[in-house]
Amino acid sequence: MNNALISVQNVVKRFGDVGAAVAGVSFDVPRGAIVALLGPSGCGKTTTLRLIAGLETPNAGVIWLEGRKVAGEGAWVPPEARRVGMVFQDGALFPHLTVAQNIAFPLARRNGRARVEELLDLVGMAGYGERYPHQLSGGQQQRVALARALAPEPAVVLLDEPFSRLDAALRVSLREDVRAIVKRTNATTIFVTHDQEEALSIADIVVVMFDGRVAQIGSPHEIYTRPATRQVATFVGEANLLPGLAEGAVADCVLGRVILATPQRGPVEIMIRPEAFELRAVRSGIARIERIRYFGHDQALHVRLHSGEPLLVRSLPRPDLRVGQEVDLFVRGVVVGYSTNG
Amino acid sequence: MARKAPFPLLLIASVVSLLAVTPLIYIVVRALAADAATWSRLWYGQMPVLLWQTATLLVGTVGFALVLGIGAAWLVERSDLPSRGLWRVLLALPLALPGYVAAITYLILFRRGGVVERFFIDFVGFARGEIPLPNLYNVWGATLIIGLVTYPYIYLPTAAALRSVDRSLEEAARMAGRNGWSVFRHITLPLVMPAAVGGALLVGLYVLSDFGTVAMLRYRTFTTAIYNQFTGQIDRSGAAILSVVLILLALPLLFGEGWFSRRQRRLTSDTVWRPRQLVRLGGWRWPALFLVGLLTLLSLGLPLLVLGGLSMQGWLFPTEADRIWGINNEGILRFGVNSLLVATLAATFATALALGPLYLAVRFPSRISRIVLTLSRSPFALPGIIIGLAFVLLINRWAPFAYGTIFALVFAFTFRLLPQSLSTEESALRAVAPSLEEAARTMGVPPVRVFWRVTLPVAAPGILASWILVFITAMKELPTAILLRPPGFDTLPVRIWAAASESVHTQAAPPAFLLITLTTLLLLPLMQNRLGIDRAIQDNL
Repeated sequence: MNNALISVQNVVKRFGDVGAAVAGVSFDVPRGAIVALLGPSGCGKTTTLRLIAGLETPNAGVIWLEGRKVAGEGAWVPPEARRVGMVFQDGALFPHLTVAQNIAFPLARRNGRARVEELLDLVGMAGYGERYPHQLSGGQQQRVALARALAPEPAVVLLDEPFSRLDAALRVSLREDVRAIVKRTNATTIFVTHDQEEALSIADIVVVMFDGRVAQIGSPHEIYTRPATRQVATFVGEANLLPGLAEGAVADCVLGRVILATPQRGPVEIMIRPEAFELRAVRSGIARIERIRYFGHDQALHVRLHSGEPLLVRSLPRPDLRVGQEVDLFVRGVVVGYSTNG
Repeated sequence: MARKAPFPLLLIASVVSLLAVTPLIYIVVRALAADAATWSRLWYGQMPVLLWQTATLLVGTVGFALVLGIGAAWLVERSDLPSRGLWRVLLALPLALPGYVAAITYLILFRRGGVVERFFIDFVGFARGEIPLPNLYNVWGATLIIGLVTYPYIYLPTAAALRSVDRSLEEAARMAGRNGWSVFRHITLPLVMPAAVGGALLVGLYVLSDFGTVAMLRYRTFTTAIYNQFTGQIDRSGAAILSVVLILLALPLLFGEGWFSRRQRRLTSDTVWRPRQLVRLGGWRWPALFLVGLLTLLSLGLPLLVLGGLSMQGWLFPTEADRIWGINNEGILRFGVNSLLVATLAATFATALALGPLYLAVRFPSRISRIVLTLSRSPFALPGIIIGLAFVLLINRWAPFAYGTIFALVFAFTFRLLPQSLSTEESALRAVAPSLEEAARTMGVPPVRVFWRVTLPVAAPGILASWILVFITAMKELPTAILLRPPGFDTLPVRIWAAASESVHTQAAPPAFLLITLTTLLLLPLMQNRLGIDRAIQDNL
């Protein structure tokens, strides 16, 4: 038993006769970290979260919480005894109770009022205690839901796609606030999302999942710049893929010689992020700009190599790059290669 | 944001509402026109007794029905009771039984000279009068019997509410540290209470309106007193006075029910549906099955068995009494056809007439449309006996030629059914998105045709469900038929009541069996579309 706060070991969960929703997932969560479970719909991330919460029972594997076995190998601790706070996708605020009563719900009778006020302040909802949930906006409801989850000072807070019901602008500001709040309380946090921007910007550790399995665990930087598989690479950001031939620390491709992150040999697929290119406008180069999408703060260029492959390139707005312009491309830094042997 | 209503619609809706409210107004007028002596005679004479009797029956029955209804709903929706799907249907079917049919069944069984006593005398050798039999002619008998047929009014909406409670609310409560029982008590129960209370108020209205059951059990309440005043006096104002008092008793229940159904919180969510975790009964499953089975037996099984058995016996081995009573194929069929005819006509008229005020209120909401709708709903406060009374008085006063005609009977039935049509059809019309009609209008279709080709077809399933529900009510209706039927034109409920009044209870079996067979068969297809009937009950049956 390591000193991680949460330890999920080879957990399997099946529903009915269809394949396993969670097919052997393992990861550890250190105390105080914010972990994102990231993946497309149906990858098993929500089920994994619910297994940690105790709302589902695993078919195999073990789950440890705070040094105590809570599921698997004969052990079972029901959700109400796990000291875990949870924020649901739709808030799940009790409609027949006020905001203050909702937040006080997990608390023992005594120190109610003061703690409720403290929590309302923490989530930026001071003064809303006597309102009812239906009188609040979606963002406000999620704040109250978070306050309620934090009320009993749990060691772990779980969030199940808490921002998916909010509009885009609100999503960005609220997730920053949530990150600040859980850091303030030192709660260990796991949140589930399918939005890779959300995962990369808030989490300390990202667990990428596909089809009930963990594809990669790492910091946002690692996940983005060193994706373990092609699938992770394309899910976490835009990826350009070019065939090449690896010879140890370098590989040859249509762009010339590139440096590999991991030495390998043989045919590979080389993954280059759009912002890793350098473009030079030339008379006659190796590619031509076909389309420019301008975003004000940067631009995305659809470029086609003369050998036929399309590439997506990101650059700052530059007056010398125009549609139809011939360009030369250089790769900055190191690239990731995926073996295509066999 | 209401457009202005087209005049023809406004006219039709207003006419319907004015016709609907006339019986109520007339009864009040007649009551107020009565002389002071009649008022004081009734006030000091009968009223205290009637109030006490009615109040005790009301409280007892509502309490009993609450226990049965909520208990049944919890077992079917939240526990792992075996054969839940079957129980779900069986527990709702007593809706098809009128109270007086249950009363007849138990009188046949338990009165002196009834089936149980005869069995003990013939087969076990007791002497007459030696066996202790339960006495049904009191408040306990009435409470039990009415409770047995009215608990579905509570069971159905409570079960629907339990089904639709957002599962994440209960999970959130568990994550907050509460165990199963605490979650139920603090979260689930408060959320389904409005549904249960709404059903309880409906049971209350049923108790106040009931005539057949209390008449058979010889339990004095306002309805039987009104009937006695009516058939006894030359001047019917005594009946009118008692009617007004009864209406005043019913009004708080009516308003309460409306308030509760408006207060229904939005409990459904559109997150991913997950199968609900059920409470494991374990060893308690056997007592639970026993109780549920017993309830079904008492409320549904015994009436069908006893009445069916007696009908078979009467058919296969007819006695002289049977022939006199017309208990042969021809006789029963004739009364059955009478019932079907009146019910079909009244249900169709009520369903059609209700569309006017409803469409006005749904598409062109305004102060006027609300008034029109409320007036159209007013007969709901009138128990059947009062509607019958009001129509008799009206007809005698203003249209004596119409007395004793089928036309009068159907007319009275239609307005008896109108409030129920309004309630059950409202959700059907609301389900038609205005954008459908607007799209048709932009394609050049004139408004009346839009209603016929777009609104009605889309709302048709709900309207059909509503028709079936009011049809069933019409089939079961007793007091209005007693007061207004043409001579010789008996409906099935009237035959049942007549046989019971003459104490030849077994002769009531064939018409009773035919009646409940018809209504049960009609109710079954509605049970398949559970959502439809739940909402219909919730929108007050």
